[in-house]
Amino acid sequence: MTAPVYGAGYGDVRLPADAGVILSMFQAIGLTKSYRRGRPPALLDLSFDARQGQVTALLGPVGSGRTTALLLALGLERGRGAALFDGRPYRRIRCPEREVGVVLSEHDRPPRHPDRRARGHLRMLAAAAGVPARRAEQMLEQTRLVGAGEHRLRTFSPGMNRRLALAEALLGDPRTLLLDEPTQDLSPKNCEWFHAVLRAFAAGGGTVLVTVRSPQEAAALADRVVTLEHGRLLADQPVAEFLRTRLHDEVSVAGPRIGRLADLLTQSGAQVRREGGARISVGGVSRTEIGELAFRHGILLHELADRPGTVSAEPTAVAPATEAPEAVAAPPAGVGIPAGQRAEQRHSRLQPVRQSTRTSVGPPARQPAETAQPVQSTRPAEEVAQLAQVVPQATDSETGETVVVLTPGAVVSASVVVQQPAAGPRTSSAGDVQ
Amino acid sequence: MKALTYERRRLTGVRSTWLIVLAVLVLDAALAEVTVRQAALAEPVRVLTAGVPLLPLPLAAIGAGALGALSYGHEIRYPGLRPLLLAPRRRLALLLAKLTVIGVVSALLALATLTLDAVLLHLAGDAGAFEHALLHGRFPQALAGFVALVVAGGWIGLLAAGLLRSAAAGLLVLVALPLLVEPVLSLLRGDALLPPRGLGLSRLHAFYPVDTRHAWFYGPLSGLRGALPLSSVALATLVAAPVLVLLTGYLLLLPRRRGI
Repeated sequence: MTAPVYGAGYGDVRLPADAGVILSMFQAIGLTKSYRRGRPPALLDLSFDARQGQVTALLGPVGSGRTTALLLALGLERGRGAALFDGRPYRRIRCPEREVGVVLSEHDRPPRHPDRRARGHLRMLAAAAGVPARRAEQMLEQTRLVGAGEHRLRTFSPGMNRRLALAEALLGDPRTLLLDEPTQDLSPKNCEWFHAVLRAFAAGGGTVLVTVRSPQEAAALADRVVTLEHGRLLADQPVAEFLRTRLHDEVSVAGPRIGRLADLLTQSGAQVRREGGARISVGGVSRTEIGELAFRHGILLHELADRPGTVSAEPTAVAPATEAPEAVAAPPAGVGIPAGQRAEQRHSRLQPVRQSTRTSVGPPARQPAETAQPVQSTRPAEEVAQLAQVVPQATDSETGETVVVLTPGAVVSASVVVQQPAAGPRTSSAGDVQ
Repeated sequence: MKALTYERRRLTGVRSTWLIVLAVLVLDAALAEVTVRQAALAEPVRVLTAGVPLLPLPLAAIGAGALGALSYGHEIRYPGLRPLLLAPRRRLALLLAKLTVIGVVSALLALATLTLDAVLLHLAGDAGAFEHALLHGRFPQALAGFVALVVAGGWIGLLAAGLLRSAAAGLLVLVALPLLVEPVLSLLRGDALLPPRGLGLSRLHAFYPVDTRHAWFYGPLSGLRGALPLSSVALATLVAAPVLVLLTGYLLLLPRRRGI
């Protein structure tokens, strides 16, 4: 059923000849985990590289084999294939804690004695890693746990536990970090902190392999995204390519007559998902088209916004590779926020929402700034108005442009320009919100 | 990997260690006090080792066994070291460190018990001859046997917990061993319990210790009194044999396992 591609020579696999060219710190070759009869393999022939100086994300839904891949790479589970750290399997490394730091998923039970105090725990593990005890103190400082050093581990929150796990992994000053869902279920602040630490680690020449569940997080965190599904490799791409091809655009739409719009959208072939009474999220159709459709049928909209963290997947809206990180630079703030909270934010703030077809926007110098603007939603109203003024100018060529300015308790105005460069914006007041 | 330092920090960092030591010492003192007050029982060695007739082992040995069992139980329940222990030599190093640390702690626990009970015996004031002998360097063999028994108890708990991957199982093995030793021993000696024809169903009771004059209450390892007359060499063998058997078993399994 599952034929191993690379034989079973577990310890005998050597780096290929071009290993010197590609500076590869971690290499997975044909990792396969199959069960006995009847069950599909948890992982089938997974091969990828994690390079030095990069964060590599192993992305996939729950049950797609990410954790299995990590456990196989470490040799904690039996399976086929090989995983090489600098050309050696984990078991053959003389001092693995000096080379590879591991943060395994803790689920609901952290693998630490609850009666122990954080400082004593780290000192104990420092001894296990063969480093002096003052290194434990350093790690407490680096993970901002000094204040909690004398607290018992049973009092630690999930976020503190995760930071302590990172401190443990970093004790031996490793060059490679393997993390299993380090930011799952953490607060946005902790997530950001984790991202910053991992990025800094990679920037310092380390290799980071991290499993993540959400594509948005993968895009925000990683330089390279390896996508898994049902234990199979779906894609192995640099983040720019990942953003272009794999992230689906979802548009959040809210309004009093949303059911009608949902029907219309479904008829036109979009994927519509209901999110409560007056809100849907739409995939496969750009925001421009939704706005047009609503306008044409006279449907009042209270909200029309891209999901934070997603970027447009339209074929025409291909972002240049250099711009891609900026386009997603802001979203991490919203990554961990529950949907309800996000919606609240959107309602309570004056927020310009715009989408442009980037290939045709006039001055290229202005582009990055404009891309970043929509997320900085705290700007004053005049500026927003200015922005709304700017937009029609930028759409002098044959582009579609929608500007929806939402002010709570005020007029919702939507200006739609469709292939009428000479006529200027045709503005229509869709109705009063109140 | 500094396994010894690790194990020392691990052992002293958890509360259960101190609780067990404290409980053993308090119970020992209480038992010694009770024994001292009953003139019929107040044999000096018995007071010093705080033996309980109902327990198969001295309290200190059970305490040491609990420390040993929790030592591996801790690694299994909180597998933070799992990736580091993949290499068999690491596990061997950890085993040796644990054996050393638990051995030392067990010996200290035995000595503390003896010291504490000696103080109580002295305060009771009617064991002058015994103390005189002790002060002149004539220790009864039973005291050395007691220390050896406590150390062996710690090791048996440790090794059984490692072998069976559970602290509870380790402690259970330790407590059950003395009960099993006597019938097995009498079987090996062929103490007329077994007819030459072999073992019929009707003779299965020969395996149970209950019928051998109710001496199973004490167990040969308890150092108090056994049903079978044993020489000191035989007793020493009895104490060392389970340790060696468990150690061999663990070492045989060590390269074949991925974890502890």
